[in-house]
Amino acid sequence: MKFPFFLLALAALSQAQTLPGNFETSLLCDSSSVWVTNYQDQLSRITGAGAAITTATPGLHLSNANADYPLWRGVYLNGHGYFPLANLNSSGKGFLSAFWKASADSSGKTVRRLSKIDLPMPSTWAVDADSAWGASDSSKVLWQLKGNDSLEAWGLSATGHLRRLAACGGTCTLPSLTDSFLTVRGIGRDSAANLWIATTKGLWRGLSGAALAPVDTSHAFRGVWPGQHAALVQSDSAILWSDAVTSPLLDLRGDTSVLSGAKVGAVAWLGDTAWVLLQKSGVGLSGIVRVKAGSILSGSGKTPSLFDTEDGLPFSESANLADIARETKTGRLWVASRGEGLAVDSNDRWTLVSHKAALQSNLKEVRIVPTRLESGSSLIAYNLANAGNVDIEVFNGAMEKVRTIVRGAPRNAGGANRSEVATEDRWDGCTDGKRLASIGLYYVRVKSGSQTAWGKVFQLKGGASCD
Amino acid sequence: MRLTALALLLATGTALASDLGGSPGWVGRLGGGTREFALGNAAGALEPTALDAWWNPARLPLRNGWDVSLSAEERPLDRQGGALGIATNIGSRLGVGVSVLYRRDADVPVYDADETLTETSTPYFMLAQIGLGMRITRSQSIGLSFGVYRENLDLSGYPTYSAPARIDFGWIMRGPDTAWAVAAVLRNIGLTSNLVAHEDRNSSATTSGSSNVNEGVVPRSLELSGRYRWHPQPGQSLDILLTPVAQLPDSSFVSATGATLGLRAGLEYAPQSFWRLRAGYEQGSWGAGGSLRILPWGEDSTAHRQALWLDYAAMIERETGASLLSVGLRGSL
Repeated sequence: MKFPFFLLALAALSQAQTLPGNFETSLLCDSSSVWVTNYQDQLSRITGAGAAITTATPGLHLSNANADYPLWRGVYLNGHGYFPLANLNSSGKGFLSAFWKASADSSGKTVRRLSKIDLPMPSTWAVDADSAWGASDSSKVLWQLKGNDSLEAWGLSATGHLRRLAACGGTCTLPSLTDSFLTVRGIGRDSAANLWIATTKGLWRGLSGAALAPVDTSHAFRGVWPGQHAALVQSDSAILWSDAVTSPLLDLRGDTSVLSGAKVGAVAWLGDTAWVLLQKSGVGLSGIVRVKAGSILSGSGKTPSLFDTEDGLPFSESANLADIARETKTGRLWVASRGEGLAVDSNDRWTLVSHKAALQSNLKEVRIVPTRLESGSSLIAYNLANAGNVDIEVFNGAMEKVRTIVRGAPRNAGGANRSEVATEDRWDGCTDGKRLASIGLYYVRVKSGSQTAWGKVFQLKGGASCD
Repeated sequence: MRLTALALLLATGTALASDLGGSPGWVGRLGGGTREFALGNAAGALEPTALDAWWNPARLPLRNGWDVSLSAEERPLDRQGGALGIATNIGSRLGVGVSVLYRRDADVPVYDADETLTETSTPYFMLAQIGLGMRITRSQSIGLSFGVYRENLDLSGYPTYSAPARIDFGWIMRGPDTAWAVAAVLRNIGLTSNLVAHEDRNSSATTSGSSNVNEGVVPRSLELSGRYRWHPQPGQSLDILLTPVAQLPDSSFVSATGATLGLRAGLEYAPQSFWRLRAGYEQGSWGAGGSLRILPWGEDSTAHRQALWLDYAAMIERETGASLLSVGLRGSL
């Protein structure tokens, strides 16, 4: 009887799995796992110990549920393995929520659906794509933001079934939220189980089920991210810090111009320090600042600045950051990007976790990802058989050189899949003359020694800025 | 004097530009025609061909009858192309012609940000010219052609693009018995106030939803061409062709900053009247080819106006290091 070598091969493959994709939309950490959704509606669970990522398990492909709702907006876990996924359609008007059960099989590596509930859709549903959608507390109660001026609480029964606990609309115990001109835009719980609610007419704080007390009614708020004895708050015009109910909110713009034009994308708390993911949609920039006691901490430089590649974040300078979260058990910080995968920080050492599709070795293939360069930059992926110096250049259809990416740059040999590093070898659509190349098809040549390979990319970016 | 006027024309106006322009520019710079391909595209001062509307509209009246050509070529990296040309004279002083240059890329794999193959694209690029030429003296003629550009990147959700019309000017002067010729072609003059042919595109059609405009111009260029015919022996001829090219990244002709200078050179040897050998050079790429007259077959005579030629060419392209092949048919009626 022959030894079943194919079983060994299958086992090896299961250990070599990577993320199903690099375009992440949301991130959530619990005590043992990291959960990631991507724009293809795939949910993945990553488990690991220390700095090593031992398993990255592609999860369920959820898009089959409803093709009209392609954008997952968030994953909210309540500490017991249940989480709802809020789902918007491309115009931001539809809504679908489902509840899922994580990690149910003996291997602890899979995700399966427990139940799916379509929440009632209000007739005047107003979706704010930037707002937080829910929060959980320690008593198995999941607070779910339902729509304009209303809240719902959902809880778990002893058998794991969901049941509606309360509805806070026109007759709920939150009288200050019954104003028909008020819209709830954010909700969260701090480490002392206080509930924070950000609305268009103020910021409120209080224990769940009890009357809320106003914290600030002079601003219209877009979101709140409570942490340890403090909360970071986004108003329509500023990013604010609140460290006590009675104290006035602190406008962080006074610290630095870094926040000019920025809005909060996500917040991860490490003790009393908030890691704040900022997005500047008008200029397409994103980055991270650290805020402690109402002040922005300096990055690698001496002045407050965006935490970026100079501080070790293993993304390209044009990376579009999507989410940030902290593992409760290990304290590791995770950052998700739209296009470059995940980065995890452990003891001040960043590691990249990304999707690396296999490429033909010995520089027989070059793949430009994404091939439609519509924003940011595209990765030039290839696989060297041996370490060597690399020339990478971009040409137009007449084989006229448009851009030199690198010349004589040392690159390592590829591993099982390829030799790309996310911070290297990308094209941003610009020419050597620092102008945006005209829209069209371009050719990317990668040379190493006597080996040459070509890839193709469609430059579709608009604007003229290449600074 | 005329060249000075052309230079002054180039110097007018201001515009932003991408360094090399976009597809409308490079499709034209690749040219068309198997014969011209083998001659390194040093074709501005050739004797009249069916592709005169593209190469030099001033040659359009210098014929007596119809010329038609059709060619196709295969380049490395799955790049394919072809050219169609038709030209005829109208009386003794005028000539008209049409040429179409076509390029495409076969089966470009398109990956999304998650490295999933989402589609396979076969984009095409097409440049059509309609030209009119006129004799101004016994030895000189001038011409102009209107060009329109159309491309389809064959990407889902991305529209077909057409560039506004632009104009090429041509001039040629020939010596007695066509022993020599000099020519100038000024390309890509826009029908705008500053004579710049814009190719601005609104990128909002892309899936990113960006509303930015991709600004660009079709770079203007000046091609000065010379041809000298030498007869090593009776019945044989050797044409020596030279074409310096100045391509302007923007509208400033006076400032050489960013201007691209190039050189094209070609040789065409005719040992007998029914076959030809050619060699060419263009910007580091080397070409070679030949022609065989298949109608009338085998007769060493130039008495026939009506003829059908089979052309063949190959080139070693500098950047890809690979050979390109082109075949074509040329007919005269």
